[in-house]
Amino acid sequence: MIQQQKTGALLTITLTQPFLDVTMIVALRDIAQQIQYDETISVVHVRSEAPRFWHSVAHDETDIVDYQLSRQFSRLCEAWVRIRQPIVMDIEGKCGHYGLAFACLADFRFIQPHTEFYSEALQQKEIPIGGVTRRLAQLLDYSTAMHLLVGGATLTAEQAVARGFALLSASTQETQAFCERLCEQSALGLQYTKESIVRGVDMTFHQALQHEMDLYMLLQTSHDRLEGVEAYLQKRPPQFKGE
Amino acid sequence: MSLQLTRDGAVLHIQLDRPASRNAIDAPMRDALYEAFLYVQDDATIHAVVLSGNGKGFCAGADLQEFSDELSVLKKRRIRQQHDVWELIRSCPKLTIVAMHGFAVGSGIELAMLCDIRFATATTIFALPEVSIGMMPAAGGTQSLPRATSLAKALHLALTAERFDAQQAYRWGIIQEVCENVVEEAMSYAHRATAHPQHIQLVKHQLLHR
Repeated sequence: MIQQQKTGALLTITLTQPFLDVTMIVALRDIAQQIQYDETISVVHVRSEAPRFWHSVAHDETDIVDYQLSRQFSRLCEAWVRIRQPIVMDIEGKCGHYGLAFACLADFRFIQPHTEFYSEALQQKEIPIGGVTRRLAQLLDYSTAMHLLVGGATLTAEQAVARGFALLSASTQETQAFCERLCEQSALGLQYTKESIVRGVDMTFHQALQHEMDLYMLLQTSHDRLEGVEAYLQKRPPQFKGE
Repeated sequence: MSLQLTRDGAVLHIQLDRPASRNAIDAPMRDALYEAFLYVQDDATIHAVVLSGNGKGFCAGADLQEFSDELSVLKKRRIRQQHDVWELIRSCPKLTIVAMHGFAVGSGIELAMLCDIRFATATTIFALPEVSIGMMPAAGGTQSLPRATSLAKALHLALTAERFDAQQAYRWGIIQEVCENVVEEAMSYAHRATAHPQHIQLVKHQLLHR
């Protein structure tokens, strides 16, 4: 159902099941909690071996809404939102409803030319959950988010790339290489930058600037900041420790 | 002097003037910018500011040479709060236009993002390289970028530290005009736009505080 592989500071999570059920949700939530406390992980890479990225939420696509599953899924999203490390997702095929909500938790979405994003929540008499109503508008724009969530529209790969929502990837290996390059950056720099950007959009600009400054001042006390500046001035590669 | 100030009617042209350091922003330049924008704020006959850089490029970011000083974090924070040049520029009631060429890196592009309108030459290169040196963008970039483009694009630029060119900056809404004689175009734009200065202040206030 879920495989994990850690290579250096990169954690790769492979989903082998094409649909979502309570067991998978609980497992993914546990993984998120482990990641939050693992300082040896710099980047999280999520990929799927299934042909579709959570097209459906049950074994039978005609199943009635499972409220237990919806509640658990919301908790899963809450856990993944708290992950400080950058999250990179490989998304193939159709990515809809719960898959779309989960994909919105990523910081980078790599897709194929045939990938499509959509939400059939309203058509299935559900409310889009997992924070997608907020996050999608922040990642794209209000109107496009409404078009998908309320209008039932589909966002094609071409549109997703044009709007900066996703990046085209030729293969999982290409995404893996991107993740490895990301791992070369300062882990603390990545985490604090992500936190500043993601939390800041929910604040007023003035509050967000103060928040950014406070995070910056925290980073000033780190070994990695001193090492990064010294390495730059000495024209050599930095040796970050994540502390 | 870190800055050159030139008055042209109702438009003040502020030029970053440390070409030997690629206009890297150090403490004296930050202080000079602070004083300059206080002057802009207080002078009712100035209706617009055009910001540009002298030399090969607009601005190479923060001057890392001064990062090895021994000021405590508490002192740095206090100085930053007492002399918040970034907030002063962001909240300047006059029209602010930046004219970039060559490069705008780190605090350079962040300074530009605090301005209202951004012009750049077609060959200008941009980047937010802070994560590659153990730091984070801290001149407002983590907030101005997502508000100018989107959360997704801001995360991409800030976390990858990749360079991007003027065409991509234009496509992503980071700059509004790509042109060759960028300072002349910016000055001309400023003069045209300030025909009705009261309107600018009203619109800017509404937009800033929405």
